[in-house]
Amino acid sequence: MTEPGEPKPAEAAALWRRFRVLESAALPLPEAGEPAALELAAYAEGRLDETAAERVEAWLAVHPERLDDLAAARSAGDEIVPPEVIDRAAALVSGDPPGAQIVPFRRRPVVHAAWRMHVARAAVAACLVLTGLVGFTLGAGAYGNLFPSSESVSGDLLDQPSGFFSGEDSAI
Amino acid sequence: MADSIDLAALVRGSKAQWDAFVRRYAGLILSAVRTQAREAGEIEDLVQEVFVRLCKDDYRLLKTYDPARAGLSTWLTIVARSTARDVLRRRQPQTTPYDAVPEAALAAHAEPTERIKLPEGLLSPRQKLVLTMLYDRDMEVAEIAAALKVDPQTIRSTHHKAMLKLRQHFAPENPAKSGSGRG
Repeated sequence: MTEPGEPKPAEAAALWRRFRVLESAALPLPEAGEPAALELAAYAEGRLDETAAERVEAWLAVHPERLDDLAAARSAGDEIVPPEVIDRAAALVSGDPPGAQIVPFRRRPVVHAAWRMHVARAAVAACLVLTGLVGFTLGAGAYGNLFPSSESVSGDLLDQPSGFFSGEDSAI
Repeated sequence: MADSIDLAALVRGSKAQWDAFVRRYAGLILSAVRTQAREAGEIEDLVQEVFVRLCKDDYRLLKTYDPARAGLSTWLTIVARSTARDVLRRRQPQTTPYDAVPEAALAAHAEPTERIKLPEGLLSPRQKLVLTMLYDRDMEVAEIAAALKVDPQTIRSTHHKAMLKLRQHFAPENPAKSGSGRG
């Protein structure tokens, strides 16, 4: 790998170590946040533009262990999975049985309750009015029976002068 | 690729599509998390955790997938490995084997005797990444080229340019420190 004039591998390694020691001793530079999984995946597939790729590489330089993720992603395998593992994962999502219809309970609308109250009040009022009318009617009839309509007391007294005021001899 | 899976119907709550999705991608997810499991019994749990994460909160994560940006298999592999890592991290306190720590990270953070300030952007992100893969992870040029989807010659060229920059930057210090005539 070495070119003429280039430090030999041991010296190159020493220069790199020296750089890393000084870099870590320096004031902490703002580290790029961990790229999202989607960005790493895009980088693994070579689908990032230069700027985005540099950002990922800057982060990878500080987290070289994540290079294993990229290697695994590029050589993604597919193994046979035990059925119980499949069942366990599938059970994470429950589904409605086919044909089932879920009918939610209907909440009692507040409007109907208020309407019933109004109806009740109206009914009470109507009863009172009706009672009053019936009572009045019955009372008026009874009054008429007590005082027959052919002769009225007030009429006799008014129509037949007693003579008391006229000075005539009274029937008495 | 979504094959015959109707993701739109799936995220709307289709049980049939979910079942088809599980049957289609369980193998891929299992393959993705296998190398991360510490023991055989963990693998199936990790697979389940991945599916939980995918359907959680009304398929919130699954809804972020955009087929225009990356293939579904690629995305699922990365999601699966990320989920497995999170699960395992929660289960165990974070410890790192001594040998897995790059030498640079083990260096004492004492004030360097030579007060060298690294200019910002001395190495580009790509150069840093290549050097990390070469020296920290001991990867071969061909491996790095395959990982970054570039030609091996590009990797050599990137390494060369990075080394030139580093050498030029540290050069005034080297003769004074080492005293060896490298020329």
